[in-house]
Amino acid sequence: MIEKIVDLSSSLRIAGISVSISETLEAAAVMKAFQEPTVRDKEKIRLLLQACLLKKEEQSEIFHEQFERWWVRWFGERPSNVAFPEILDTLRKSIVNGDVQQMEETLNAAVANAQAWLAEEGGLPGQGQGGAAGEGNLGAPENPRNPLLRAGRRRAMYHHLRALLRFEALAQEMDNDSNMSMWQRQHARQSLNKAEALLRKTVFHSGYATGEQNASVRSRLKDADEDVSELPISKAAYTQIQKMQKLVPDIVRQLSYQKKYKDHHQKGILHMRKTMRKSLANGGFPIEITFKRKLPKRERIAILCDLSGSVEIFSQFALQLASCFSSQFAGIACYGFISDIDEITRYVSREDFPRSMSELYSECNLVLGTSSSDYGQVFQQFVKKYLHDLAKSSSVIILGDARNNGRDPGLDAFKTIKNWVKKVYWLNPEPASSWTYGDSVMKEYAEFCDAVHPIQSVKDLAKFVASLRGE
Amino acid sequence: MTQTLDQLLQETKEGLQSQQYLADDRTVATVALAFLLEKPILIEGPAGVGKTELAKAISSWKKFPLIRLQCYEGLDEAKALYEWDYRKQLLALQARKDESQSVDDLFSEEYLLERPLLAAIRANEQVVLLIDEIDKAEPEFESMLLELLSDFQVTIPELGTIKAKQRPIVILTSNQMRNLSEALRRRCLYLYIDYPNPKREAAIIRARVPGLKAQVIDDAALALSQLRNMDLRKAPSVAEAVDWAEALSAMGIETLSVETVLQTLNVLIKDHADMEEAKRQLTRLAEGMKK
Repeated sequence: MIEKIVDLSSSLRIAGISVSISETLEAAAVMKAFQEPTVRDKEKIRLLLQACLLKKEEQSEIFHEQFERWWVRWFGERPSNVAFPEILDTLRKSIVNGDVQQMEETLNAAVANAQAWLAEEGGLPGQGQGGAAGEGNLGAPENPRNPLLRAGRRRAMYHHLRALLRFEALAQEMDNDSNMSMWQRQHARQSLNKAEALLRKTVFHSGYATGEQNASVRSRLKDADEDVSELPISKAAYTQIQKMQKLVPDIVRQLSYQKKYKDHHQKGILHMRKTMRKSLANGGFPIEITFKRKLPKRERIAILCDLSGSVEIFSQFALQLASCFSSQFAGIACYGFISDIDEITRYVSREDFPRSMSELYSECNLVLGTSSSDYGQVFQQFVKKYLHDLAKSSSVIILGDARNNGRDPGLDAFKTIKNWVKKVYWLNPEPASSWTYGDSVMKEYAEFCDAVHPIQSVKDLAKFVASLRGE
Repeated sequence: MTQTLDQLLQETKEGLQSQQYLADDRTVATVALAFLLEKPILIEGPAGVGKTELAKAISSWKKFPLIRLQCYEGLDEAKALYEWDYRKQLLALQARKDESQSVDDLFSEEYLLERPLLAAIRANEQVVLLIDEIDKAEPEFESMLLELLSDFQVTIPELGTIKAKQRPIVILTSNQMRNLSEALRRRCLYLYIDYPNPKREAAIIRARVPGLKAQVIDDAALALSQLRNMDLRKAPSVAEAVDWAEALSAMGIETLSVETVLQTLNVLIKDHADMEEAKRQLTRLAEGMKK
């Protein structure tokens, strides 16, 4: 039994779940109870091993996949001897009940059944009765290495199974069943849709023995392991951007942890209780004197995000950053601008932040006159509308590329901002080398900023945050 | 051996059921394993699916006292583990001023204030220790827990290491506000509790609100699963579902129509924007059904 558990945990490790030795030992201890496991114990064993080996719900899919293969490897057959009428019956029941797990099992059995038929008989079951017409060469001994043919065969199998399982008839039946209450009917319809999706998934993604899935697991693994922190934001693909956005909250959170422990040795009012307690170690003489920590000053930060088309990807990222800041700190105000500026705090500080994006774009006044970015006008508007609401002790963070489309950069307004607040930081998505080229006015603004950071990757952001912490 | 494990699973299932906690197979298996391996359980899942309730159910089923530690930002050792009763120490010093006694005994049991974690370790009988919402505490606190969770012991510098007389059953819950460390996860059994499927939800409502008609209960459970599919900010929790069922029962509802759901929606949804969204989708659903 031990070698089987070792096999499972090592294949889990390869698939990306880090299983420790102690966890493997526990799993082995649990499995001692099963000397000769049978199919009946399978679900029980799955649950028990899951509790021992799986520690994150996001990884449960990988776990189930690996468990399934492990089971086939060591304990053999999947139950593929279920005949089609029975499968149809169970499937119907599971759809009406909305039992996804049973649905999945039944479909797996159906696909396994069809594959077995394919291998033995050279044709799909029930084909003689006019199943999927026009797909006659299904079982032909074609070259299995040819992926096009393989895909074609799968597609044929999908259509065939779909016809066999009679989804349309089932839907009809459900609609006409007057015994069902409206909630049941609605539920049944949804689970029918789910079953169709599952069938597609099972047919096109199954292939335990063929090694096709190995490749898909491997590529998924590569995705999961990919380090996006140094990848340029402007070149990232959609999934990579999402991964980057997941990194942002942790970076911002570091800032808040640091704040609490900062000023640890600052002298202030005498802390009576702690001083007395420390004095006990010296027989009641207050030798070590403790002071109350000064409360860290409340940060007030205004974040200005460029939302224009030229920095589209970066602005997603900027909004995410603004959202993280506003969830971590109290005194945050966020503004969005293109050629006019509007307050967006209420959108980015919402818990369902990414979903409030469309409202943000439709409800805010971001454009005045021109639809491309106009930094000069934006800063003038900012001074007029919002600057006097900001406390003198606050900081301003501007996220934008400073590409002004040849317009007046409005340096006077920018100077007014600089003189009003304590610090001005500029985060630019472009590298420092391109700040002097084209219509970039970064150099002119940079004179009045306390710091300008090029933010091309998540790592740069971490650097900026570290510099704020004074490291 | 297989028999004993089976028995344990069966026992756990019935035990939890006797406390009106209807657990799914995964929960039963994890709780049974926690007994078998004497390991802590880490429970994650959305708010209001009965994570804390599970600890309470185990405690009342086994008749073990429940010791609860509610985590929050700023929780530290002094509030969670132990503290020296410095006032008492001061008084003792004052009282024995004249006698030239040694002060060694100032750091002894007598002056120790027990906090929940230490209380659980030093209890004479087995207890259930519930560490609620561990994700709200800082990562430092999490690291402090590691010794307790793996060896069931705590080290107090002045007294030495205190080992548990009876290993407590430890249950940690988390709402996934932040990622917990790998080290903590490794030391626990893991359980993810999701919203129950309609069948189990109907069973839960039946157990808690016996007065309601069976057909209404089934429909209510399906309606709840519809609502949870709606992509709301805060989906209705199981506790709210039970409240709702009680409301339906009090209103004497015979069949659950969309209108009834709309009227009683404020029991389930506590957010204005969510309410609007749910109303819109339910109305659309009703229209779709009529066609």
